[in-house]
Amino acid sequence: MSERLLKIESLHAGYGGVDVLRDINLEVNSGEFVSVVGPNGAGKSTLFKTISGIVTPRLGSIFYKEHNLEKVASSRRAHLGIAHVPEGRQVFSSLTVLENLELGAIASRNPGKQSDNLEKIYEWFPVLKDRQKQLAGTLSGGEQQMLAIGRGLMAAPEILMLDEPSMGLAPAIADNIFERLIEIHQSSSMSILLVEQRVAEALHFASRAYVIEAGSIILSGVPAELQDNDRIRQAYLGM
Amino acid sequence: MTTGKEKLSPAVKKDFRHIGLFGLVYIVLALLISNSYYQLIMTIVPVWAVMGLSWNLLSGYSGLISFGHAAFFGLGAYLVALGLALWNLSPWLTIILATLTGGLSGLLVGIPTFRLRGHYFALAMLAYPLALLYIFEWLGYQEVALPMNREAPLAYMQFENPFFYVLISILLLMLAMAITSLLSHSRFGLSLLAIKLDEDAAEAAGINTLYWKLVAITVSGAIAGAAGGFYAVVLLVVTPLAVFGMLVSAQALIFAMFGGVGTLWGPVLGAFILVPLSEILYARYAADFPGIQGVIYGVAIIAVILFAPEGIIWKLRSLMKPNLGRVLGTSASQANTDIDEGLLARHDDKAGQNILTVNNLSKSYGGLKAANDLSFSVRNRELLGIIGPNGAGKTTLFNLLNGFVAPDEGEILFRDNSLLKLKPNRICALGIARTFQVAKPFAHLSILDNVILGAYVHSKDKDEAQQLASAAIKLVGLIDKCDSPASNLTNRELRLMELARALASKPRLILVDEILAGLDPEAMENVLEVLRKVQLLGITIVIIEHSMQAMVQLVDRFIVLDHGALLAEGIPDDIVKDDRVIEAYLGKKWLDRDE
Amino acid sequence: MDGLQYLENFLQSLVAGLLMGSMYGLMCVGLTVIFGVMRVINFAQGEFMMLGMYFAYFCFSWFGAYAFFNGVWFPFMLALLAGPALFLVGVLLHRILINAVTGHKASKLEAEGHYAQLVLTLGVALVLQNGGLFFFGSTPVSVSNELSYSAWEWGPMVGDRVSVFVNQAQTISAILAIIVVVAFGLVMARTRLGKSLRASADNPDAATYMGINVDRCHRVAFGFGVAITAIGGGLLASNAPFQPYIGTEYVIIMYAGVVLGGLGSVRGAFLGGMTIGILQQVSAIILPNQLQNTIIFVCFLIIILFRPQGFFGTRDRTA
Repeated sequence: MSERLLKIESLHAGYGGVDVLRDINLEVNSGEFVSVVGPNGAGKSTLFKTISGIVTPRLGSIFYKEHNLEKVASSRRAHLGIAHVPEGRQVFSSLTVLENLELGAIASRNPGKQSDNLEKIYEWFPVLKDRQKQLAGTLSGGEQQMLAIGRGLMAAPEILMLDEPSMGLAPAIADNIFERLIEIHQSSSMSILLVEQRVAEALHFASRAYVIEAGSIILSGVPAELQDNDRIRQAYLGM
Repeated sequence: MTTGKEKLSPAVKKDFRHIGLFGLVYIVLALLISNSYYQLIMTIVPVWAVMGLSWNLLSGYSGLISFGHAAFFGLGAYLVALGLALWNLSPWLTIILATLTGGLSGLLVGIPTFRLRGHYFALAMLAYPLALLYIFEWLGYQEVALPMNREAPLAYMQFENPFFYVLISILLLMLAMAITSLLSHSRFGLSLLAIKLDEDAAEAAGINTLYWKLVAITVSGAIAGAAGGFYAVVLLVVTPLAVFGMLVSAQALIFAMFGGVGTLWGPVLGAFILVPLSEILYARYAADFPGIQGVIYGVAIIAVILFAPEGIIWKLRSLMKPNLGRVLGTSASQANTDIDEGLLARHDDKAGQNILTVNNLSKSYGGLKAANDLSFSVRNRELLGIIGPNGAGKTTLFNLLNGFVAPDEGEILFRDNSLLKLKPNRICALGIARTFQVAKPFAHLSILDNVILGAYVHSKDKDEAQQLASAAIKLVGLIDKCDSPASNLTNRELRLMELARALASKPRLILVDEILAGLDPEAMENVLEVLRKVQLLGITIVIIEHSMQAMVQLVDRFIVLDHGALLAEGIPDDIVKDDRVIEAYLGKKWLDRDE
Repeated sequence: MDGLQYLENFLQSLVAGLLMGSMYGLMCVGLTVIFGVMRVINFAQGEFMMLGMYFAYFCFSWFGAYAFFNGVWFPFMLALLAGPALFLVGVLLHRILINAVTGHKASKLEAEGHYAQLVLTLGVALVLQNGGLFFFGSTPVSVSNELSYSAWEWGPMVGDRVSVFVNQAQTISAILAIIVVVAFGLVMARTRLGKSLRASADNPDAATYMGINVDRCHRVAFGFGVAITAIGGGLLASNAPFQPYIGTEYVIIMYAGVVLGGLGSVRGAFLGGMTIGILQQVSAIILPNQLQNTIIFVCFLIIILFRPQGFFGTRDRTA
């Protein structure tokens, strides 16, 4: 049975009185892999920041299962089962790899499983185990991305939100990470909400997708339909 | 047009009238009071108001918080005290010397200390007076009494009738207020405000931030030295703690912050409220509540920070109707609505030549190459768009061109001048202007005052600057609103004002950083219109934007960056069909799917 | 004075410097924690030291008469107790006042936010200082400690000419100071709380995504900072008489030590404080009394002007 995890209704949000997101309606159900694509400045990161509570919505609502997130403080949202892997990795650079991962477990609803989770993450990303005592700030871009993902997974979340994981990474490394992501998704009941600039990758892996441009959702559906839609190319390239 | 001497602007004249009136009332009041205790308070309050103004000149306007004004105050006090006690010098002379000493020490303190920012600056400033305190204690000047001179008391500033002390005190205050008014309505005031708002943006607008900071601390120190010198005469005994102590610096700060930072009357208001309050409470309760003065000042400062962080005057203004702000505002300039926009034209360089050339430019941050061997040219009078996926290095490129960041390798040539190693304000003076993504306007000032700052790079003369600013405002289409305060502007208008400020410096090349972000289609079209008009004046435009759709209709040529390197360059038609570009934006698999 | 006399003076000062320096180091650690985690320059830190001193003093006066507490260990225990007591004060202060101008919320304020916390803590310092004057009186007091009058003799050395006297009370205080710093270091490095604090300092947004309550971390960090400095004060309370204005004297010493060690580094702060202590005591050989502190200011200025990042800051920074 597929449960509805995330439901965003008529969301308007932004900074300093200016709306970056306009009338966003979006859903993620359990087990799904949903992608959100769109050109730069479309508001994708703002979407995640609003879900995580860093940005307060001006209008509209976000529901996570039965919780209205408006009533949930931002630092409590992780404890509900929402993991956010931020844009640009944002690892704790002055802490070690292991410490970063341990902190990821803070929001875990099942603390007893921490060492099991750690083992699993080391299996998916062996390089993290090699470097566990190293300071996170000294890792390469790709390794930091793996660490950020691992950190998010430590709490065994129900939904993993990834903000442009391929940014600043060489294509080969980004591909590697995407493949890991698919494996992780297929081996658990966790949902993934992926925001990406690179359309093809994002559509390739998802079961459903939304296209966002200038703060509004202009298209949504299954990738097969969207891929042939020239509207996407227009959104990115202007003609 | 350049007469060399600025006329007094109406705002300054208005201030002078108010100051004169205020002084007159005060003197009349002093004449009526004969209680010597009240006369003493009436003498001391203006001294502290002067200290508040002194602090305000440096820290209130520039945002660099000084906890060390006691240093200048104390030096002034000791100069006068020791001058009289040791060398029989009259305070009439030594107060002037104290002023000069204060100014000089301000300069000496400023030169090394301004290299620090934020909290390091505040900490360093804290140390100076405390160090002086210990030094003077060590030198044996724990208590220096000013001796009385029976033969010629008047020559030594010793009056039998306390009224004359009040008179000198209020005259000093009026002088300090006059200086503050003149400075705040001039380039000095605007430059300091710009520094406070965003020091980097100020540099990019051509303001030599170090120079203005040094001017500020020198004048500030001079005024504080004068205050200290006179205070010694009133107090008759000078101890290190009384003139170098933390309470002195704290008081200077508190009066300005309580009354209103960055205003003329704020420090005066603060002193006139808090000093009598604390003196009276001290007199009545000191026996039972020792330390009550400190507690009052402490509580006052906490209350102000929590409830009215900029001081009473600003709080009052914000509570009153918005357009009253204009009446009370510090708009010192007048716009010329008939101005010819052609004033900003740049037709001297020949079209077709390269105005800016970048050769092998590289910059790395850690392991990340933000700029990777970039080489390209910008042709004179063209409108060049720089695009690329997120993180491609576009803003880094602007920072390199602007002088905020030094490249690891490579060369930047602007009309045959190398831009390497030049500070941003020099680069602006050479003719490159820049807008910033987050426009931080002077909300309390008019549009004209916001824009005129940019013009000062090109011309020191106020009239000429006003002309340039007016022309820029007219060009962007805001001339109808140019006297309104900037706080009421829409997003689009703010961006246009930012553009006007950049244009007012009469640039040859303007770097536009994401000016369209967040605008709805109608606003976007308006801004694009303005940009086309700018290009018609002969100004070269290099623009970073995310919104491809808008850019495609605007630019002559595109440069596409990816991972810091030049991916492609060419005309829009070619670029949007270029496989490499499509791959960079949409991903390799998107290309593959067509095959 | 001949060479051996100089040697003896030098060694004596060095020992005194190490002992006093340990206590200074402890106080510096308190200050650096607050800055390291919260990025707040706390001008009231000297006043928290003063409160620690008075806590020790009052407890000593009230309970010291009872036979149960009448032991040599009592003053030291009071110093340690000052920690938890002042921790509560710090947490309360943060919740009521400091929170309003710092933390996540404040980063959305305009330019005022930057100096608001500087000025707010100045206001707090004034209130505490002068409130202290009212509540505690201006007469200098101290905590009497039998061991303050005893010293171990190290020597005689070099043929009976050189002896160094090591004050017992100061030695025990120094040892306690080191223990507290080490214990705190372990808390920061090994416990989940410590890691959360360091994460909040490193990247508040990412910490929030992880489910860490950054404001609460700031509160705890502030409490720790106040508590640790208060313990230092409590230890110093047996050293010399003090009065409510003593905080100002020590503020620059603490900042000099912290800046020397690199703002935000626990180990650096301790070593920095130690260095300042040694500098102060050794300079007493050649400089008259008042200038000892001036030397510290001058050092402080030189460090800030030429090497603001400090010397001892290393990988184990709190931020």
